[in-house]
Amino acid sequence: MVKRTYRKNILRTVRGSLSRFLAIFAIVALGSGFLAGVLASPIDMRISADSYMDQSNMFDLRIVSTMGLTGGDMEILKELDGIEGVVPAYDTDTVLLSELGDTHTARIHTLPPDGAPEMYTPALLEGRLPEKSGECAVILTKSFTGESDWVGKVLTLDSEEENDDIIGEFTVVGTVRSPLYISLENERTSAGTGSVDLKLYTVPESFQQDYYTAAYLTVEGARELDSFGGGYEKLIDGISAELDTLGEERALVRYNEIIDEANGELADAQQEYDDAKSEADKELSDALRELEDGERELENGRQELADGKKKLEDGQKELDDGWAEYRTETANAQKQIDDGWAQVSGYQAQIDSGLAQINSAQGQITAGYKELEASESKLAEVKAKLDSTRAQLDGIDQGKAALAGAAAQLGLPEGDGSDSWAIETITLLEQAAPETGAQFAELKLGLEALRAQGTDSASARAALEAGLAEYEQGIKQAQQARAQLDQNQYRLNSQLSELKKQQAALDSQKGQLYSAENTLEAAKQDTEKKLRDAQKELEEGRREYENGLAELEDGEKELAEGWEEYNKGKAEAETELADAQNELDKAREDIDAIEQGEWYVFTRDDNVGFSSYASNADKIAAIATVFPVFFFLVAALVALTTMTRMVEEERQQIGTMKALGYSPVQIAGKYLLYAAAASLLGCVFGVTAGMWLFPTVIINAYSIMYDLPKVLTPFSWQLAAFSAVTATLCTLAATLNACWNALREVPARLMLPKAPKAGKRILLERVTPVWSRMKFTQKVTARNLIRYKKRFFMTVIGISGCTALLVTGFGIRDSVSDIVAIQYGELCSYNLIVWLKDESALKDPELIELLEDESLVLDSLAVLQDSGAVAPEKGLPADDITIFVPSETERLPEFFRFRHRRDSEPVVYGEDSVIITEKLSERQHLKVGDSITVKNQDEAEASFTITDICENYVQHLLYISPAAYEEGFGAKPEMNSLLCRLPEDGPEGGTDALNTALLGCEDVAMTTSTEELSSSFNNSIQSINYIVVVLIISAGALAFVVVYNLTNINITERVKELATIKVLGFYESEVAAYVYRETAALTAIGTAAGLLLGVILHQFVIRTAEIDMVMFGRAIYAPSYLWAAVLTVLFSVLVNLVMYRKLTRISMVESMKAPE
Amino acid sequence: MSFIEFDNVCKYYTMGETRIAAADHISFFAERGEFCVIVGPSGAGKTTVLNMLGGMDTCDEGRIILDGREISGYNPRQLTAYRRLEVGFVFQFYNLVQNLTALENVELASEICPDPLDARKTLEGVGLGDRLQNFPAQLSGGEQQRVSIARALAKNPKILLCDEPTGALDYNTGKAVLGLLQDTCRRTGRTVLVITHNGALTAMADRVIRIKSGRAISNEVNQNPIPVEEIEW
Repeated sequence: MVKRTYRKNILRTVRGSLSRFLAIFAIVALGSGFLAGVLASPIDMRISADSYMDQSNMFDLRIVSTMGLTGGDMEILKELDGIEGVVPAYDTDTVLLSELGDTHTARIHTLPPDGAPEMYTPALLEGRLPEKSGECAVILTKSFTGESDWVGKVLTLDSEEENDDIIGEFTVVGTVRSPLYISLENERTSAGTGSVDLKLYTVPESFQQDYYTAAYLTVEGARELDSFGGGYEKLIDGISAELDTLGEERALVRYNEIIDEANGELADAQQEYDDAKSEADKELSDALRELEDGERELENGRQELADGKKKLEDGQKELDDGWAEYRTETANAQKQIDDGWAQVSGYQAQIDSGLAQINSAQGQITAGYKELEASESKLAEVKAKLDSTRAQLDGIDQGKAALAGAAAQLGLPEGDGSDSWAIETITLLEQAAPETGAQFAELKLGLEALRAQGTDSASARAALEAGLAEYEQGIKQAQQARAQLDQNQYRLNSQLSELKKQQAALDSQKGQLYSAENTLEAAKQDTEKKLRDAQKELEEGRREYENGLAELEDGEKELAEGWEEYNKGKAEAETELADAQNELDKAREDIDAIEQGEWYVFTRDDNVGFSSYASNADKIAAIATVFPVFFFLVAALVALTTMTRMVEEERQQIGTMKALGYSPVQIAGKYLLYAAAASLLGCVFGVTAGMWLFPTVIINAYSIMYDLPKVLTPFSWQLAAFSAVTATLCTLAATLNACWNALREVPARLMLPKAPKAGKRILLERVTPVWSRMKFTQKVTARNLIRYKKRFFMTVIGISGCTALLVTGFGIRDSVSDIVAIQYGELCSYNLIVWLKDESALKDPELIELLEDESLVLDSLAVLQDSGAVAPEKGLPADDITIFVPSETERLPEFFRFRHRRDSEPVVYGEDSVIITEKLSERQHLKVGDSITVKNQDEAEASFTITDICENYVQHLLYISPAAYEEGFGAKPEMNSLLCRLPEDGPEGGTDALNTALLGCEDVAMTTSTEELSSSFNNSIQSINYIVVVLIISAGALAFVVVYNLTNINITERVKELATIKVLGFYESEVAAYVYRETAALTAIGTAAGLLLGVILHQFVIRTAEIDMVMFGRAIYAPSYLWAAVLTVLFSVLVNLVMYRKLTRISMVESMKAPE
Repeated sequence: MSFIEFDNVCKYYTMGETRIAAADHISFFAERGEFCVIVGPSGAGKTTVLNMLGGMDTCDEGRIILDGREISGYNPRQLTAYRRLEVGFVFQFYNLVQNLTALENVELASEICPDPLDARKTLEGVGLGDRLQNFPAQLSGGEQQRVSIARALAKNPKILLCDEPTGALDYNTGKAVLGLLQDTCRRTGRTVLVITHNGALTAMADRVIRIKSGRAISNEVNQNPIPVEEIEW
């Protein structure tokens, strides 16, 4: 049989060219695997989710009504065609406090009551499900695990919530996973922080409401359908439309019920109003009467006071006159006395000077007497002396006489009697008659004494006589002086007595003056006292008057107040009554205006987790369309080059077969079969691996955000067939193209060796300066590159694809890991957010103390983080945003670094700034100068003109100043959180201790640390690394296949050329370089192109894959480019190393062979 | 000692179970400057001899000596250097690199030698002064073989080895090529060794070595070599 040989031929060809076969196999496996894998990913995501929904009996429809739902509604719903099950439920959003003091914004769901079908069945994780009132199970989600040991914890209703619908305390009996919450995105609510963080299941008995808040429905036949598919949507839409109609009916019934009830209440209220009004009127008229009495009394008092005042003024005048008179009189009296005194003191001075004269004269006289007595005593002394002299002289005379006698006796000469004689005589005597002589010794002594005095008795006698005369004279004079003195003494004494007489007269005059003074003083005191008393009396009167006046004023004030109060009370009563009236009117109007309530019918798409999951699956689908294009392009090129080469090699064989009579179809069939075999094998391998690998990795990566218990990756025959057919068609088309020319030629031509393809000059040769500098081994390379265009494109596209995938892979990692590092490392400089229940917490001394302790908290700033939403332009998403208002505008930049992402230029934040985050600007197509309209938590709307756009990665934020907030929303911003910066090495005593202390403060709701946020984020993005690894492996495989194929073809095609240059003496390395230079050049070109392509691809993937609330980094870091390039080159080098052996094995003998 | 010396050289090929001796204790010699023709029928071992002499293959036994050096003892790298520096090779099918011009093909060889001849002049020497920039595909067979010879010569080798240089050429062109080789030998005094199965060529050789079944059966010196133009076959 021809066929057998034919098949044998093919099998042998495969065996003989295994590397070629493998090249096609590998690239097809890659391409189809990638295609099937990425196409299967979104499908598998949906299947996994759908299966989870089915298993957990997720509701298809949810009905809420503006007026609640009644048991009657439920009955009607149950009866409805197409409805499988109905679960009445009480759902409420409220604020719960945990034992630790954490505050949770909670949504409470009720489990289906007894008798109702199973729905949104929770999967128990721990403990048990709630069974009786007050028990609850906590729903754990991706973003919320809260406290670790939930079971046994008690949650209490925040008393400020005033929620009477539920009981006040819940005990956690278990933790569950719920199909209601598959996403980490939190649902919005009007309670608490505005974002639901804690979700609970409880039993309906925990509610005390008289109507249901929601009805959950399952639809017949919906379970079997894919929740994301069109069939499901159609079914649900149909039912939902029916429900809308039913809703109108039921709402009317409910309306009538409510109207009746309201009218009854209104009538009661009207009665109450009327009573209140009459009472108020009576009270007011009483008050008016009282006030008028008071007015009259006050007038009397005013008159009395005026009289009193007049009297007082008169008294004052009298008193003033009295004082004046008193002052004049006393002044006159005093003057007289003063004059008297002046006169007396003049006289006294005269007397005193007279006395002084007398005293001095007396002194003279007394001195005169003393002098006189002294001279008299002197005279007496002189007399005594004279007398003694006389005696002495008389003795001497007697002695002489005796002597003369004696001398005479003895015979001695008589002498003249002189002294000298006497002395000589005596001397002679002594000698003569010593006895006699001795009698005269005395005389001799006397005489000698005289002589010694230079005198002698005779002259002494004469002197005595003169002295006596002088003495007589002195006595006479002394007697005269005494007489004079006595006369003077007499005169003085008479003068003195005269003066004494005058003194006595003056003293009496003085006495008179003293008594006058005394009299005056007494009179003065007397008058003054009288006047003072009068003064005092007057002042008392005045005080009395003033008291009266004050009393009057008080009275007036009191009266005024009374009036005011009356008026106010009256106005108040009037407004209150008017208000009441208004209210009544309004109530009446309201009742009139009560619209027929409305039913809202929600589908699963209205569940945040469900809808975002669906949209993310769509994103994957979008990305899925881009990647396989590469692989298929490359696969086609690989098949084309490979098969072209193969056909060329077997040219003669083709000719022979043609000559033997095989039809072109049969001949081409061989190659087509060859290619098809390689492709199909590749597909089997690729699709099987790809369909498992890619969905698993992608869903794992999405498990950052979604909580699906099980990943399903069912094998899809459709996809497999699609991938296989696409890939095989690609390679077959390429093969056919390769065969085409050979098949058209006549056998004879085919038998001849194909004329070697002529060398061609390339453009570069015209650039002589470059060309002439190139070695011609380089020239060969250059010409070859241009000559084999298919290979060129295959390699460049393949290599660039490889590099692009690597850049994308590394880029994704950069982008995602950026978020954490930049958001919490560079942008936010606060470490802790303290959530407050109330602005008043800022005044709590306990909290203030904690905040001011620098060892705990470096710095803090109170801010309002208001959960709002954008009021979007048509067609744009209504993004949730946080309106960020600092208490102190100028300090916010200390806690958040405002800057542009592209150039890191700081963004100015000030009083007039309105700054939005970059992702928000992108999503809402906003730029600086545009106006943004936002709603705050209280649904108030405000528009702001954007002044700048800042870098930010997590959440959408709007930064405005408190003034701008107040102006915009018409309400003062109430700070609800504190941004805290902690010390570098943590607060003293550890973060936990600080948290506990903070939560211990009253009105602190909870604390969030940026470290927790960033570490939980970091954990989740670990899974991104899977994607990076898959991309690297894919890229490596791509590079490997392409470079392997290129090198393989280059070597086999040029065996002879290579053998020749070996013969010419090229060393092995030179031979290798001869071949590899081409690969290297292509790798370089491919890598360069791939880097550019990678940037584009990365941007595409990041933008498509981004989560709504998060902005991934846009930048790829230099190391990523470097790594991508290095890895690409490494892959290429690796292939070349593998091929090196093949190169060395080329035998030089080949050069001897004839050309093919 | 002779310029070229083969001393009991053996080369075996194993084909499955059997071992074939392509060279079976072959011994011969040739002198410097000779135009030497090795002639023998297909499968006699001519190419094996040429491969071994040209350093493309190694012998299993015996010694091969060229210009006093024992090539048979060379390792692969030494052999490459030997081919590079001392041997010029002319192939039956020219083996030109299609993607290089005539001139570049010559330069391909001359570039790797330390002391090459000028490529352009060498091409002029073989009569292709006006075809320097042509690609091989644009040249006739004879012209291509001339380029091949020029490529071998440009390396300035000690010995020129030619493997059936006229095998792919028509009669006249073949003659012209042989003439060029003979002329080269005479003019430059370079040793030229031509392998052929064409016995007629022995007339133009200085030395004729006949090989049969892997052995040299004769080694004669032709006293009166005649110019190739005068030979008819």
